[in-house]
Amino acid sequence: MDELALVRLAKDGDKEALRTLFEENKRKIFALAFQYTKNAEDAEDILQETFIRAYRFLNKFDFQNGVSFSPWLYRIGINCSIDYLRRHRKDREKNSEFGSLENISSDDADSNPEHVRHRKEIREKIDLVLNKLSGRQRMIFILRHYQQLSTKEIADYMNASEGSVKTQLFRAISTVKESLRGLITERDYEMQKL
Amino acid sequence: MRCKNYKEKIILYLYGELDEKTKAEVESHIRQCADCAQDFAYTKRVFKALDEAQEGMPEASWEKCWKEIDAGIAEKPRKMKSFFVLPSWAYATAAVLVIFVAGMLIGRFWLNPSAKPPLQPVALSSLSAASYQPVLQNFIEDLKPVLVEYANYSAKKEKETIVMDKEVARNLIIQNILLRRIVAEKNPTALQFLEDVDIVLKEIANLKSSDQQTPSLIKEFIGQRGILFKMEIFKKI
Repeated sequence: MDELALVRLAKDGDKEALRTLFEENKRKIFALAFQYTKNAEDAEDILQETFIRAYRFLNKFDFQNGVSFSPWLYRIGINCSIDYLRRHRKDREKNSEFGSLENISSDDADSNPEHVRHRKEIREKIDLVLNKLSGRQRMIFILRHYQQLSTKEIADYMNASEGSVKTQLFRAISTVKESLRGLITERDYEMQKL
Repeated sequence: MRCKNYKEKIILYLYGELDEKTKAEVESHIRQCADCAQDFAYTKRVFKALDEAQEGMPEASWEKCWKEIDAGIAEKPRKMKSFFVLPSWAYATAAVLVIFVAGMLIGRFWLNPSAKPPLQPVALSSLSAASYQPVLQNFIEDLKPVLVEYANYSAKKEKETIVMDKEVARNLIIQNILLRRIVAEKNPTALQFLEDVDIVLKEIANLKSSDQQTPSLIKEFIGQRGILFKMEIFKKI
């Protein structure tokens, strides 16, 4: 059954149709929320909040205007993630103070313990610096870098101009680059030249 | 172009967001400028580190999540019900009415047993002007932001604001119905004003987000009927 038919059924109160619609989108929303919060439990909370909010606003979803359900839901997911982080920012800052390198799991295949530790240090530094970005800046960075949306798509999702998205993205990446300066050397990441 | 601008362009270059001409410009600049070449190489290393930092995406435990979602959805009827609950001022008015009627009954039957029963039922319209004025003024206070917004409507108005206005309008329609009953016989001018407001509120409540024309018509109607002007008059009486 296509998305449109499922939305019609869900609007009429068909819970199975609603569940199918959500199941088809759960991975994408969860990935966004996880990349944004770096925490599986928080990401599950956001996933639930997104779907409950979507259900409550389902009557306002106007599919006759050629709007697809998935991008509409994704936009709700973006807003829920930003709201969630805003509400839980203080707890997260407190927890991150007690974070230690030993708590970070690693699937690094490198057998050199010094190398593994160094990579972990970089990961922790990235987590810390991403936590320090504003919610909106962090979301723009996640959407561009990890969700691989174009700056134009991000601007559409976030009701912003493309220029402002590019500026925020540049600031976010500059902050990350500054925080990693000295930690990342050419030896760590051998890169191809132009 | 200055190096600072190229540093911004390098990021967009790595994301593949530049057109062919700008891409060629960036490549040419990097070949000539040691500082930007260094920045380019470093940014690529940072991107690689960022990619590696994201490895190991967990799976959401969907059944657990669905249980929570299902429970959250079940709360909806309660929320919907609250939409139809009358605003607090309506309860306050009802309480005043009850006390008023009780006072009359006590006065006529208890304190003055000689009075002739039965009493005429007390209609809402029997309230004095002074008793409905605060209610009308409260209503105007709630109404004003919505009407002013539509009176200043321009086509650039955000869709989200319209959704919010619709909910406010529905609430105001209910208040307006009660208020019209109260002022029906006492103040025909106020009644006419409230009937005009009712038309506006119903249009707002039924507005579709894609509808660009109706807000302009609402704006025109508000102007034609002098609703904002009348609103200010009733507010001051």
